[in-house]
Amino acid sequence: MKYKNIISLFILLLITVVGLWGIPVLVKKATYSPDDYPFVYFSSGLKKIALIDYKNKEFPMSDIDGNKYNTAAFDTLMPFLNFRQLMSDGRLPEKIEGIEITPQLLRSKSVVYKYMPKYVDVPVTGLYILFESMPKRVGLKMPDDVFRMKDKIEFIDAKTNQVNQEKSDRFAKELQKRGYTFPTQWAIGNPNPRKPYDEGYFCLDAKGELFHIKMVNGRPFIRNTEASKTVDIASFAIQEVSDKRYYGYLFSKQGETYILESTDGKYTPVKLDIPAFDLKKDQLMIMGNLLYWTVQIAKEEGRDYYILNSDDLKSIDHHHIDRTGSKWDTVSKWLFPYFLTFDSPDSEFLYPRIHFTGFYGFAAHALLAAIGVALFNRRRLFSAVFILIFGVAGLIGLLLQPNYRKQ
Amino acid sequence: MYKALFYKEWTKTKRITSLLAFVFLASLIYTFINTGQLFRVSGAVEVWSAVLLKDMPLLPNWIDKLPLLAGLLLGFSQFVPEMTDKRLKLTLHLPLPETRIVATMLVYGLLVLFSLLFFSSLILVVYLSSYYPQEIIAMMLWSAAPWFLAGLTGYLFAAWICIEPVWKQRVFNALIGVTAMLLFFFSARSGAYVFFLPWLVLLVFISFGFPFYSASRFKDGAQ
Repeated sequence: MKYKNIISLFILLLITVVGLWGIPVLVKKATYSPDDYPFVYFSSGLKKIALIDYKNKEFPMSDIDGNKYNTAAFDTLMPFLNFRQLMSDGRLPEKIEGIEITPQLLRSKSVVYKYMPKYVDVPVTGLYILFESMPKRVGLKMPDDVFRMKDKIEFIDAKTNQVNQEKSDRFAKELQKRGYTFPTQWAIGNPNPRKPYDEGYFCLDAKGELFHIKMVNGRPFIRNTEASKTVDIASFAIQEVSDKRYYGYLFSKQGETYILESTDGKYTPVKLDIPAFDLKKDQLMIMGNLLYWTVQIAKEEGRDYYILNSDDLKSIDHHHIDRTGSKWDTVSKWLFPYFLTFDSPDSEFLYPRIHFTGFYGFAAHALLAAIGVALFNRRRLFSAVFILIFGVAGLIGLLLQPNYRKQ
Repeated sequence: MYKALFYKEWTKTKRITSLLAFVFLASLIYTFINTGQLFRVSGAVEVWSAVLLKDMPLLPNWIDKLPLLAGLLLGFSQFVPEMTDKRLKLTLHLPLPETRIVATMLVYGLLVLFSLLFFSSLILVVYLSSYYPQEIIAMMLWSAAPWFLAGLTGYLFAAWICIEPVWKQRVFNALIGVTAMLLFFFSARSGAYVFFLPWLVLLVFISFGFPFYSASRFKDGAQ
């Protein structure tokens, strides 16, 4: 047959590609262990960053100078983190740093938020659920319709699966009046009916303007936040925080983080005093309390912790912990100069991705190539080069293909 | 000659094709009953919320493997008889170039499989459109696309494995086939495959050549 050799090469390439993915997956399963970082939080008692190891029952806390603290001291030195325990023990102070506190106040000022690149890089249906923001009864109720927002706004009634023209027109008119331009780039909301209140959606229009859209008493509430005047907006994460101080977190295309503050009906982006991070690779975590926010940026090489004043979000302290790496890092470096994956912790999409680990792995490839040559009695040069490039996957491919292996 | 070859393939596969058509029809009817019951019991609002917020699948869980099963059964029913007593030798001696003979056989199988998948999807889309908006239907189709491609690839792999004349190599081919099929069945959110699909389509095109390689080995008398 005319194309026998070409087809054989394609089969060889398929085996190799599957091997470049499958073999590292197996090796990773055998060697991978998650990164082991302590829990880092700012101690308002010490005015220092502290490290907490919950596995250590006797001395769970240590400061960055290496001093260790027992459980009772840990509770006292970190009253924001342990206020429930302090309340239960009857040890909750009346004031912290001169501010009178109550459990309600502490709860309302408590903030927890996590950004992962895969929260943004995710397939979307293009349908959204809009709650009534001022429900007549307590609690939010799942509405009877959903809306689409890509090229126009349309509410679709779930019971009839038909467009609710009257409601759609009402919102469309208001959007037009407020200067909204379709197509919508993205719409971000929090369609969880268990949240304390609803702030609807934040939508980026075609011109890059960020609009706030919600439904109040069945009527559209649409405002241009004008945040794009100060921020080159990349994405937004809505968070209906208890004290209603802000609407959520705004990320610029340069990787800066802001909160979108709510001030007298206006929207003010306030920058967090932390360095820009890579929105496509790094993770961000915010754990805030009445006085301090601990912001953690997790990168491939380690974690940075920034302590911010909760009022002005200015940095007052910083700590860095290097990533120690696992067996997988060492093994992959020596076995595979590169490998293939189809999934990623940074994305919900599947597609082939090549990961380079360095050039050390080519030494193992060269050794395999030398062994491989002895196994083949034809196309020796081709086999040697093929194994040198593709390593174990290439060797397996050649061994499984009758056109190449020793007959 | 092509008509005769198609008729020959139909004679071999008419039972399995009818069985597959029945299984597809039964699966569609089950899906209709299931969807109807879901909307009656839970209500449209709850179902839509679950689909949008929890990524609840519109189709029964087992349906993802159905196209692959169809591809494998069709492939085996078409090519196992050819390998019994080496009847393929006779087929390849028909007055047509061997590549055209193999291509005709494969095109027949792919057309049958494609027709089954296409018409099932069409009926499914028409039916589900009365329950769900177009965005949800589109997302379902994006999710189902890798399963359909798995069916077509599975069929071509079955042909590749069956026509291979040497048992040891057949086992190797089966191992390669099984591992490659995993690419179509990663557990992921609806729509996650959207950028992967072009690569899977490429794999279908490449796999079309594999049975020719086995046929060539068969003709060369590989032992």
